[in-house]
Amino acid sequence: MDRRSLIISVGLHVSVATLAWIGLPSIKRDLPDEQPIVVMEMVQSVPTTNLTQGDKPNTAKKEQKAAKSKKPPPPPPPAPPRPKPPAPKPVAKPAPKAPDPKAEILPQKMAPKPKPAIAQPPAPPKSKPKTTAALKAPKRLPQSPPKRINKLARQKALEKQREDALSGVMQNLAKAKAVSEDAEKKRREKERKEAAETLTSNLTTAAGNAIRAPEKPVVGPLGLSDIDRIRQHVSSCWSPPIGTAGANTLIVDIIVTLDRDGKVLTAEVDNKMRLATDRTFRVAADEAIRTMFKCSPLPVPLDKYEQWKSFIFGFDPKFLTR
Amino acid sequence: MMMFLRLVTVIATCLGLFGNIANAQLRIDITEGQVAPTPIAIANFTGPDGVVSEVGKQIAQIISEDLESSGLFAPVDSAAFIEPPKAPSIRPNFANWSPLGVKGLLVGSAYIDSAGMLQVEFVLWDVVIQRNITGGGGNADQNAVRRISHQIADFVYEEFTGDRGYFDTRVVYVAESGSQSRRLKRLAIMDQDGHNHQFLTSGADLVLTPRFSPTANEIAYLNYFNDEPNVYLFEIATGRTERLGSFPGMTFAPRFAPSGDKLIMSLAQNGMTDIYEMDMRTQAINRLTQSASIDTSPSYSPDGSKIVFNSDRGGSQQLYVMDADGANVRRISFNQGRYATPVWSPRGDIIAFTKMANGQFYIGVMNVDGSGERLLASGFLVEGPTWAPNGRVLMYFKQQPFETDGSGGDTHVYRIDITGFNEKRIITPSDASDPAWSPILR
Repeated sequence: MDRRSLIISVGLHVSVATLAWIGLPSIKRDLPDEQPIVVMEMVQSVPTTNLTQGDKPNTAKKEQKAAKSKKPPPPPPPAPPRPKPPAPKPVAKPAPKAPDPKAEILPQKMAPKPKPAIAQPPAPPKSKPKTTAALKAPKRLPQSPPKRINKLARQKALEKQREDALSGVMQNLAKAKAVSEDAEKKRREKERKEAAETLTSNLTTAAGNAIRAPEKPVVGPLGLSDIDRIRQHVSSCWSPPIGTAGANTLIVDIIVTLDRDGKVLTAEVDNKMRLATDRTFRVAADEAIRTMFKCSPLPVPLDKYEQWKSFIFGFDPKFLTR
Repeated sequence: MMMFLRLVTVIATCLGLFGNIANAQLRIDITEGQVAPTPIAIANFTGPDGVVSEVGKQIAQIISEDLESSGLFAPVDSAAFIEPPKAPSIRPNFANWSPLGVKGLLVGSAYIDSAGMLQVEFVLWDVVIQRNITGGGGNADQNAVRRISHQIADFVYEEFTGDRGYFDTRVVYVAESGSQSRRLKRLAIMDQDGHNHQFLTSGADLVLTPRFSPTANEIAYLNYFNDEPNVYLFEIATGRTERLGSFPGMTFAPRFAPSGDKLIMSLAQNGMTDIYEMDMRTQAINRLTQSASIDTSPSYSPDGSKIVFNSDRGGSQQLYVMDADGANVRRISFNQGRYATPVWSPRGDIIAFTKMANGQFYIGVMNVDGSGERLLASGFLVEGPTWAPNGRVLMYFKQQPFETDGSGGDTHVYRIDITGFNEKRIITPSDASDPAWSPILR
């Protein structure tokens, strides 16, 4: 009896273990059905993308600012002509009050006289370079003496090189050998790296570009603060279907496209099948569309248009039934 | 090998999951909103000449009052209109309506034609999306101004809430007058907003618990004749009354089956009160419960497959649900206190009830399995909930306590949204109790 009961016990344990082994994964498989998990994943990935993408716009801004700050320099070019007009003016002053065209002509004729007199301001800049050149000259002086010494030194060096060349042939051969070995090593390493890269790329391709995909700015560089701002803005415009039967099932997804100013261009219901058959859902969808247009424009970061030009807004009234 | 395959499957699943995530479009879930009445513009209805007609003004006023009373709409004062519309056929200039913050605009025409008939036409516009939502028209007797207005209000209500409107409905109740010692109780009927009031009985006999038939043409009620309560039927069109059946005991708490061919009620015999159903054509009765306790206040589910009632079979007054044939009785209320007068919602999702606990009366709702109990109203005495036909609003009566000199005890009918907001008193000529809401009128 003990033996029999032992066999039964072992059999039951094995069957329970088998059921657990087979059954537990099936329990786990159900978990992904909860859609919010996907949403959470997307939000979690935002900070990483935000950091990388967020820097770009910042640098772009800096560049733009820099470009703007550089733009002022172009105005200086027009400035040079300015000194010229002042030059004629003093000339024009002594001249009788003549119309502008004459004033323009006169300066050209009287140019020799005014140029030395009032063209002094431009002159200093010319003299300045001369002074600076004078200051720099002493630095160049020490460089010239070595040139004279080099003639003798070169002859000695050439002789030494010839001697070294004869005595160092073997060394050169060894060096060449070492160099060729290094090159071989580098080539092999390069091949290994290339092979590894092709392998990883093949693996990632086989896995549906799953590893590479997160790097793409699908979620966008919109930060949590950006998303929160948009969410808060849209929430303030939305009247949820309070008191409606089955309100917790009236989850409406609206696909929204925006222009570069954040203005809502289109707002369409994703679930068109239910829209056509469920009257209560249609009313909830209408309210969601109204919300989008009422909330337009959305407070989106204008420098990240590529990431937010199209959204899906999920209007979820489950909180009404909590 | 199996282990390897499992690992491969797990890795592939994970990679697939990440791939799906990566390829998804940017999504933002909106899980909060602003719970506020929908702003709407109700323009005065115009005549054929584009000028506001007297009857058009009246219709717009009734529609505004209906929508505002629901607590779900906030009609904008017509004085704020920049350019009042001339006719429903003309597309409004939405730029003039958007600044008012309204979501909807109701434009209509109404006039009395040469034959003395009221001609009505209307269009409901979505101001935000800038499109026509719905429209309609028709004619009616001149005396039907209120009813046609209620029907238009129902259209508007339905388009913005998804639920059918309840404005074109009536309420039957017990009108009370006189001192407490010589209380006069009569059947009375009125529109859901208290208008078109009418007494149905003289008050010679005490009447209680009136209930509409599914067609709203008859009323079943309890009538004390020679101090013995019995169920009677009142035909609204003719005013004819009829006693339902002739039984040795007392009958009370009548209510129609959704099909209208059966009536369910309590019958007290030999010291036991049980629930019976009666065939309306043959007046044959069928006993549904058999216990030594008091089983009463039965109410059918909207599909007629279940019955909820209250019973003290467990020691205290609690709610029970059973199949329509009396099988599978199970208790659904387990919280502290006593429960009475359960009424199944027309939607079928919840049950309204009266609760007595801690010296207070409450009107509440719970899910059909007894979970999710919510108390909506309370008072010295609140009782007798009845559902609006769309299942969104409850009506009940509330009695104030009596003073030591015998004064007080005022009794009035109230209604409240199932969210627990927007409690409003229905104005009646005298004290009122035991309201029963009609189905949608046809």
